[in-house]
Amino acid sequence: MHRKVILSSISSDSHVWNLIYLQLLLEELNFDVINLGPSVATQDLVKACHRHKPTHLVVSTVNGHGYIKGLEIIRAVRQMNLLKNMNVVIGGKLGVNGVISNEQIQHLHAEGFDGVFVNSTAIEEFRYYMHQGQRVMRVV
Amino acid sequence: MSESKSFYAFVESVAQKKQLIVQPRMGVSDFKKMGQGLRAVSNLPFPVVATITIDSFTRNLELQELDQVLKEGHELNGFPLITYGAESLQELLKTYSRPDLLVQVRHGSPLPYELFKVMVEGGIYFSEGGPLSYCLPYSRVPIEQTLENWTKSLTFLAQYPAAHMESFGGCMLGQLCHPSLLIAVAVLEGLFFKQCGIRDVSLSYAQGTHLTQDLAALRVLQECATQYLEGCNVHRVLYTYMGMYPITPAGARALLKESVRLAKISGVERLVVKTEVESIRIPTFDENINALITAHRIAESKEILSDVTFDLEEYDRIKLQAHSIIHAVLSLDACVGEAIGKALHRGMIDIPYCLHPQNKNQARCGIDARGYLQWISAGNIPLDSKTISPYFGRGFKLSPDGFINMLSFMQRKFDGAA
Repeated sequence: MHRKVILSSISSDSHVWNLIYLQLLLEELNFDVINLGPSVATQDLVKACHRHKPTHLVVSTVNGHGYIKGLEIIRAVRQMNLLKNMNVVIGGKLGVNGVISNEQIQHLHAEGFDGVFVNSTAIEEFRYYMHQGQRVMRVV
Repeated sequence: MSESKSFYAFVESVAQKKQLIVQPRMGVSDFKKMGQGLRAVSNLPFPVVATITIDSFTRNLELQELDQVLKEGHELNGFPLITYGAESLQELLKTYSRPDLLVQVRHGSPLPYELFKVMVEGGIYFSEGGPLSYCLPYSRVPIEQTLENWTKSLTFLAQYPAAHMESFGGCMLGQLCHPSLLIAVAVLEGLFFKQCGIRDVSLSYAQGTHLTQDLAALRVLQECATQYLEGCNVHRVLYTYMGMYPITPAGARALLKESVRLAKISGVERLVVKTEVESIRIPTFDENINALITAHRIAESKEILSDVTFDLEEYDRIKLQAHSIIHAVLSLDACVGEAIGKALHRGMIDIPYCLHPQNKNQARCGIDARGYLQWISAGNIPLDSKTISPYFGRGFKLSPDGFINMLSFMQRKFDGAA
């Protein structure tokens, strides 16, 4: 049986090509992908998770607001009892200058992200992570 | 600012001199700086159209969030026109000395009514976009809502004789969309403008992946403009490549040059340029001005007109496809807006790789061995299969790496040659 993934951006990010690429990559790994697309409000993201009950939520964003919006998303998701087994990862360019600090990465983990993929080998690490289906991976 | 300034009259006067109008993208949140930008453009001694690009908060009508961000002292990615208001715009337009300078408001909004009201009250009657091109690529607003708001916006704008509207439909997602679909969307949006009462129209086209294919496409666009938009003044506007841009300055310059060449050979009246830093960040005013100067210089040189081939077969294919889409969509309803909405629901308009919830997203385009854009799959778009290249066979499956290669095709081509 295929595992199901919700793929999404954050509310302020209108970039699409990263989402298309990740969809192709996840399909190659035999995931069923529900691609919510760009500019998704956090509440809509949570609703979609309840509706589709995916094994993974993958948040991809490149406009620099990913750290702040990532915290908002993970807090909203981790509040939900029904979503407590869902793996949640985030990746892309999460800071305004394209980067975030190690402290910020640790903070994202501490708030409940299972994976944070931001450095130059992010795609390889993400592919490996999704392939293995590991629950927790610390990427710092 | 006098209302009698005509966009088309200016375009015509420049075209008669066989010159190319060049235009930047330009917008900052600082009022003074915005004025400086307009002044810098107005001081250029060759044909230009100036731009006020609106920020993304205003585009999405997130005006409270915008206030907050401004209060915190952050800069925006454009000029917050609604927040500043009409009087400020009037002030702004006094900051440069060339009364004949045309200024276009560029905004990206799926719901532009509020913006248009402020824009017109402030003295600008020239804008761009469209109910497909500003709904599907980057917003999640339902098409029905966009069509309603755009109808209201354009009917309002059309009361003013100077009103000019450019369809952004030739730039859907900026890359990897087949020329025939770009042409069809631009023409349909042009017809929508016309039905709303706009008589001065331009149709856009984004530079694709091969000069020869683009030349064929721009000829089709010209013929469609004449055929479908009878009774309107129409010109074409080309956009320098809008996809993944070369990283090296030399590669970026070479791609800009190629787009100027395309504009001049095809006789396009206006070109919206890109700068050398496009792949990295939003350009500064100086970088924008330099790109305009470079584009103008290239346009004036004779050597760029040599060694041109015209692919008649490709022209025929693009023409058949564009007409096929336009006819099929128009046959759905006498009201162009209704027809557009229905066509989207049926997947007859289906923008490749577009993730808008109402876009079927079954159509796919790719780049063939020659560097032409081709259909991988046309989904439900009404195309004669005889006009579709067999390059991507039925069983073709797009891999993630193959996709990245196509996305970066022009970047690699021009950085590699640089």
